[in-house]
Amino acid sequence: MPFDLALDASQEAVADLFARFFATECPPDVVRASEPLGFSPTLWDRLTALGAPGIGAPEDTGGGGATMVDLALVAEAVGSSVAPVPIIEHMVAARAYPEPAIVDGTTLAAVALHPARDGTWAMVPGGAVVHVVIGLDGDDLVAVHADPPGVALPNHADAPVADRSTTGRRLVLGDITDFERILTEWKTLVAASLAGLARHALQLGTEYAKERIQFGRPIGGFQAVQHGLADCVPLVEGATLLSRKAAWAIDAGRHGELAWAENDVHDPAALATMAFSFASEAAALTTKRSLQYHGSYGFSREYDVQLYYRRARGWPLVLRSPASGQHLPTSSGRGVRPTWTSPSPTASRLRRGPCRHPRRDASGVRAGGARDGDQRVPSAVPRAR
Amino acid sequence: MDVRYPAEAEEFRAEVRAFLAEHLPEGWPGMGALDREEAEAFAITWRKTLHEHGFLGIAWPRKYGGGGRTKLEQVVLAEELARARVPFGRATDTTSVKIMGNTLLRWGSEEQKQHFLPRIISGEDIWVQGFSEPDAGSDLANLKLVAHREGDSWVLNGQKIWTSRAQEGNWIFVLARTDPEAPRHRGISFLLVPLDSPGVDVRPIRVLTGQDEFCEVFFTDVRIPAGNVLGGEHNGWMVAMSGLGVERGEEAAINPILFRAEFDRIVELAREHGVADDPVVRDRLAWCYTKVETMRFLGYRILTQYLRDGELGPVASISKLYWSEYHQVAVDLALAIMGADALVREGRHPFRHFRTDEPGAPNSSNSWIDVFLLNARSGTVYAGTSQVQRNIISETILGLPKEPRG
Repeated sequence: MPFDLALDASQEAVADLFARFFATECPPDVVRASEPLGFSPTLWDRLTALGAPGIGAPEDTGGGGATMVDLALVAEAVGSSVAPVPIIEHMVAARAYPEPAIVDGTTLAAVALHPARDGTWAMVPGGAVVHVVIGLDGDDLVAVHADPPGVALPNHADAPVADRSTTGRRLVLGDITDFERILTEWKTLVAASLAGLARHALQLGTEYAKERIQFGRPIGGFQAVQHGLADCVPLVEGATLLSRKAAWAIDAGRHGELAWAENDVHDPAALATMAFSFASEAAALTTKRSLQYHGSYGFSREYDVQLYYRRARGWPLVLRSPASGQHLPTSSGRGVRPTWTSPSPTASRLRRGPCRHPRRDASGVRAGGARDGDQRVPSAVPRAR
Repeated sequence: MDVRYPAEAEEFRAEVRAFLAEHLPEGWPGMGALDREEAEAFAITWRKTLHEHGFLGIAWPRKYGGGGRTKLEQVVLAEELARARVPFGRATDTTSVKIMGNTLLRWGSEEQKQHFLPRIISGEDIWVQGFSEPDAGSDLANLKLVAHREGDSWVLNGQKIWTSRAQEGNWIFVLARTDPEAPRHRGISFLLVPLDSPGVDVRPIRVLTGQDEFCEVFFTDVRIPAGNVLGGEHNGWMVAMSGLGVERGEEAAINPILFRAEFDRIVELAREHGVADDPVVRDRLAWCYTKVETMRFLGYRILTQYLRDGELGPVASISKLYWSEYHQVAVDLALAIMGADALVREGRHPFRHFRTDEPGAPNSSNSWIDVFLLNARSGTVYAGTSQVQRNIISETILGLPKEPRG
């Protein structure tokens, strides 16, 4: 056998453990309750009890010594539940900076994806709620300790994204090569989470298509719907496999192995870039199809598919440059060095106030406007289950 | 074949342009450039101005409060209003003036026309639409709202869903089952219900953007006079289908104007983000431009048929499939151009929740995000899903065998 795509027994155990954990601890109502900030402290505490935050840090630092493949399996489960916790960012940060409080999860940490500009890291995923940000400042990879703002940049994914200052208690951790390694790990795990997200979105669409009766039969019996969902299967499977391969490549440490002509690419940076790109597309198309087949219900907050639809688009966006789209790998495997500069944390964005519901204001109900408060409107509309 | 409008239409166009020049401020940027409060205030006063000049219900007979003009002039007016970046009325006028008004003209008794049409024009009556139900979306004929006769009344029980702006209306037109024994499409009546009737309950639905324009409407032993039926008992399906066709003619003329204005905003977006020279972006922009240009001609074909026949057949499905699928690709491009900026919500939200944002709207991320999440996303669902449109095209235009229904 040239290669074995199956998970071994311990990997199966990890996948199973976290799938059950998130299914129990993070049903969709937990996700809803966390909006708009996108952070559930209770869920974080439960993850801490499980030892998840430091799972990938070396054992001699108190961590779990888990491999990147294990972390990818955790990430898949995070995506399947669209869990409102910055656990992916934290797991990556804990590997780079295995300080005891980060390893045990009592201090939350995240990574800035773009180099600092004007003393600020823009759009840090998890930045609204973490105490430690690891990022590139000039030529140094640094870790900065500071109080989290507690509010997010208003965004349609209800993710705890925020700009963070480079000022605070600082520690130099390394250089740009170390940063690129961190970025590779983040992309890999987010790719895995997007694969998990897509997988669950496909399941939502499929279940709805089986239950929804129109024209005297389930709509899943119509070829148009069947084919639309079937298209998503290779995308979900492919995204899962590619992100696991990227994770494996990180564990194997085979940097620079880029025999493109022989399909023998093991360079982690190249694989992470491809996995991120592919999984983003897989998640975008799968959630789009699933939402379409829900008909008008896809737009209702009471249904779950819109939770996935918004995050499928939102999660990868923190990395996207304001350019034409993909971050394509070049023959060096390093990815195209972006010609754009980091998103600018403009003065107006830094002045932005707390993250309120985008439509809420003190005047309450307006014609066609949103209502004050987060009351969910009770409805007789039957829920697809 | 002549792609130009006839002379009398062009004369009227000049008249409309003069009216606009007189009633809009110098350098008017379009309603899209206003903030929400200004836009709402503007829409109300603008409607009055249109009304005073006979431009509201322009093709209705004068005796009912309309402008007494031709259908072609109605189309020309719609085009010029869109170009000038002003609305034809308030948001509820789509269901009130266009759908209800035109359905009344076609199917109403003289008494009904004389009573209701002037009140629609004046804005005293605001009509919203009650068609879809939880189990009757694509399969509208599966509707279950029942109305049974009790003496001089109909008594209604059941529910409607996805009624746009029910909070703003005072009347609702509904399709209800009035003959449960008849075949599905035949036992339906088009009924007229005051929204303040006892037993009517309006509940907004919160959608993924946070807004709540769409509502469920519940009917519990609601009584209406027996005369509140349009087009005759058990004839509701025919009445409703003709009403739905009415919008398509004008839409065909206006869509290319709206989508071209949106395209121009995407080009501006590319410039603002410094990617107007990127070959990939240019390629995608060129694709969009070509699609919008083609949309213009697909629209003219529908327009011609509408003006000639007053009816629209399956040709309407071609256009609807085309523009709704196009719109999603165009908005994806806008978001791709914005990159990380497309995640963070800033600036003014769209005023419209169907098709594009207003021409002249700023390129705020909120405008594009909400159009992405709602306007463009729902375009392939409402007024017949893309799946249904493809079925109509393949069965009715291509003549392919129908897939078995239930």
